[in-house]
Formats: sequence, structure tokens, C-alpha cells
Amino acid sequence: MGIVGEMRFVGHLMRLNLASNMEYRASFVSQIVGMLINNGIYFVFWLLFFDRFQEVRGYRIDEIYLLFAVFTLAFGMAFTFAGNALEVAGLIAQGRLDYYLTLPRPILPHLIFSRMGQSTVGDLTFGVLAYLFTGRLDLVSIGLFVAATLLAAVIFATFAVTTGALAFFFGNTAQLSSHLVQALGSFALYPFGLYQGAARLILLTVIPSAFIGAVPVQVVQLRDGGALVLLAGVAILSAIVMVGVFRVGLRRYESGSAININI
Amino acid sequence: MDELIFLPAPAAVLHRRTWRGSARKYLAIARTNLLNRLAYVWDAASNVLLMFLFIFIFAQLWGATFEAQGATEIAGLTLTQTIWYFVWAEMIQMGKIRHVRTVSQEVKDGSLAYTLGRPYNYLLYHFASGIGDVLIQAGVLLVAGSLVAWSQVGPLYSFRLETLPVVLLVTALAFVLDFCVLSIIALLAFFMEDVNSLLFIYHKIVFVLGGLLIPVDFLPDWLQAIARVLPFNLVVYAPAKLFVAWDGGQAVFSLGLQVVWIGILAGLLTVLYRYGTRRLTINGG
Repeated sequence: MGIVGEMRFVGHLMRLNLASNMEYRASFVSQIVGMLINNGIYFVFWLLFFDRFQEVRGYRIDEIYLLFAVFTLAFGMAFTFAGNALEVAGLIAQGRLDYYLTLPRPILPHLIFSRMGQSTVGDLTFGVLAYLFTGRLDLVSIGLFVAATLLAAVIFATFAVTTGALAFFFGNTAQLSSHLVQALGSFALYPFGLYQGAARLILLTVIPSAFIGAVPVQVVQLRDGGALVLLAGVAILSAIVMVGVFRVGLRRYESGSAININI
Repeated sequence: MDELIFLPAPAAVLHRRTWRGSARKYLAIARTNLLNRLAYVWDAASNVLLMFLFIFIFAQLWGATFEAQGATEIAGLTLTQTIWYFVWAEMIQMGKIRHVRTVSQEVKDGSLAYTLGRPYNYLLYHFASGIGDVLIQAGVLLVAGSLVAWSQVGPLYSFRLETLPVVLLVTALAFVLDFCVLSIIALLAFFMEDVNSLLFIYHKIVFVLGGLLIPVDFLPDWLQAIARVLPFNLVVYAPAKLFVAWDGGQAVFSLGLQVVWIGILAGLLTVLYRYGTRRLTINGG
């Protein structure tokens, strides 16, 4: 089956997931509102911080609006649509890949997209609202923002799946995987100018936080086409690494002999 | 048939036996969970990774902030005290008892009903079970955080060893207070489909009003006034501040407030638990 067929399949999964989420409308909406408040309170920290200290290493509150917009929209897009990306380690450790292995579809896209996040829709909404505060409402800026954020979302999701696939090699690494994703996000949410020397190198390679925070911000702020190309390259590389690690790991997979019903 | 006469045991003996039995029971629960925790070394190791990360980020952020302000002290705290403050604060936050998902799930799927017949108090069981975890986590996290803080800003010279027992007491009560709030959130699953958003909101309130991301002293005056009377600062800020900048009067004040808030929240928790278990229905056979 060609790539078009696979994309159609993923599109079909997303429609089903959305319908499933909408079935429990009150819960869905309350989770979204909860996440909006959650992000809002976190944002308050930066408002208070810059209200008191004005500027740190060239960063002011304006940069934080854009950083939050990029980060929350990328996070929202990644884990709303690829809802299982954060669950990979747990599914492997519990032997719950059997369900996907028995069906005539490529395992990885089926696994990643067979669930849709609920609260992450709140992140998605928050990202759009935060962008409105940046005041960059011309078409070029919006286009660059959407493109850079999409690529950041790909890096976010592929990193989550890659770290989740560590469970093939090290047993139940659900918490380790979750913490690595948290590390990726935590570093990205602070101004990149704070990090110096070896820390910068790590954030551009092993834990690529720079590519879901600082670099997309640079793309929008400076209209930097080179940075956008670099971001696209990193997104493709991340996807290749994810597929490679998953394939090698899958050979080591042992069934849990569990009977699962995916609803 | 001879008449059997049962002599009542003196009340004090009975009470002592019951109390000892209960204590032994909950200690056994804590011990079992502690051993269970030791079996999952990877999880503890990954927490250490996060601790390294957070203290490193805070050292960078606050180092740059002190430098930008050209200040040796901000709101009475030096850079060294500020970074060590975050070590203690993060130790509490990351070492806390994590039972919300389990309890809310047991409420939702009705499996809570099966535990009601067991010879223990459901909430005390979760507390005892979590304490074993806390002891391991907090110890490991403190060592990890201290290593990073020491490498970034040097030792904490303002720390006084003789104040440690009181700091530990305030910290222990912080865990109890946090447990009460989290248990209330978990039991709200009797009325709500999903309590995750409430949990997120509580965590984020602790981030700001509790002093996890920014010491309460650094907040604007009007917000400090609010933060200081709410229970959230007693979970993180109060013990962490006493650790880096001891103040006897503040210690007594914090202990008093902690006891009052624990009383209020434990009362609320008891009412919620009794009301919820009366409404509990289970399906299946």
C-alpha cells in the first residue's frame, strides 16, 4: 500500500478518535478548559518574573509570548493527533503491541495515531491565543509560525516515540520515557540564551529542546529561512531515528499473552 | 453449664494494643511499598535525571537574573540560598505521594468497594503505602539536587544543623498537607468523570503561589499577602525557606498554620470519603 493509502488510513483513525472524544462531550470540554487554566497559571509565572526583573539576557515578555505560542501549539498538535506517542513505553512493557501486530497495517503509524489526546486540545487552543498576543498577524509571520510549529510538533512526537521504544531494550521505561519528554519540554520553555557551552550542545543534539522552542521562535521573529530549513532537516532526521529504533526494538518484542480490546 | 464471665480488659491496655496493632499494620504497608520501590531502580534513576535538569535550569535562570540585576541579594536571599531553596522545594514536589490516579481510578471503576471490607482505613493505607516511596525518593533526590547545587553555586553556608529537626518536621507536615489536598482531588472522582485537569491546576498553583518556581518573597506584595495565608505555600515554600534561611518565629508560625490547615482539610476529606462511599455502586458479579 502506498503512502497516500497510509495517510488516508491515518486520517480515518483521526476522524474516529475525534468522534470517540466527542462522545463524552462534558469531560472533553472540562479537560480542555482545565488545560487552558493550567497553561495560563504557568504563564503567570513569566508575567510576574518579567514584571519584577524586566529583562534577562536580552529576553523580555514579548519573546515569552512567542515561545509559549510555539511550544504549546507544537505540544498540542503532536499529542492531540499522535495521542499514543506518550504511551509507547507502557504499551510495549505490557505486551500490548499484539493487537497492532495482528492487523494488516504498518504498526508504527497505527500505534501512534490510534488514540487522540483530550487535554492537549487545550494546549492547542492556548498556543493560538498566545500567538494573538504577539501581534504578528501578517500573512508571512503566520505562515512561518504554522510551518515552524508543525515541524516542532513532528520533533516532539518522534522524540516521545523514540524514548518510548527504549522499553524494547530496557524493560518498563514508562517513567524514564515520560521524564525524558518532560526534560525536552522543560528546557524548551526557558529562554535559550540562559544556556551556555556544553548545555547548548546537548540541547541541540541529544535532547533537542532548541528545535521545539528557540529555533522556531527565531524562524518567526527574524523570518529566518535558513533556520526553517534546518528545522525541517531535524524533523526528518528525528523521524528516521524513530523508525530505526522502533524497527530494531520490535525484533526483541515479546508478547504479553494478554487479551486486549481496544475501544 | 457454667456461666462464663468475661472480664473487660482495662481500657488503656485495649487502646494500647489497638494503637500498636494499627501502627504495626501501617508500618508493614510502608515497608512493603519501600521494598517494591527498590525493585524499580530505573524509575528512581529517571527522577534523579529530572532533579539534575531542574536544578541546573534554575541555576542558569537565577544566575542570569542576579547578574542582570547586579545584585548579591534579592528579597533577602543570596543566589546560593535561592538555588539551595529550589533543591529542597523540588525534593518535596518530586518526592510527594502519588496516589491520585490510583484512587480516582478505583472510585471510577468501583474497585474501591472491594477495599472497604479490608481491615484498614483506605486513605491511611494509601498514606502508609506512599510514605515508603517518599523516604526513598526524597533521600535520593536531595543527594542529586545537592550535587548540582554544590557544583553551580557552592555549599550552603547559611544552613544550621541544629535547626534540622524542625525543618524536617515542617517538611513532614508539608507532605501530609499535600496528601490531604491530593486525596480530596482524587475523591472528587465520585462526582467528576476525570480529575486530571484539577490535578494539573493544583500543581500549577503550587508552582506560583506555593513557591516552587519562584520564592514567595520574590512575588509582588499584594500577591505575597494572598500566598502567605493559603495552604499552598506551606507545602513547598515554608519548609524550603526555613532550610536556607532559618527564622524561629517563622518556623512556629508555619507549624501552627500547617496544623490548622491539615485539620480543616482532613475534616473535609473525611466528610467527602463518607459521603462518597455511601453513594458507591458496583456492577458485575
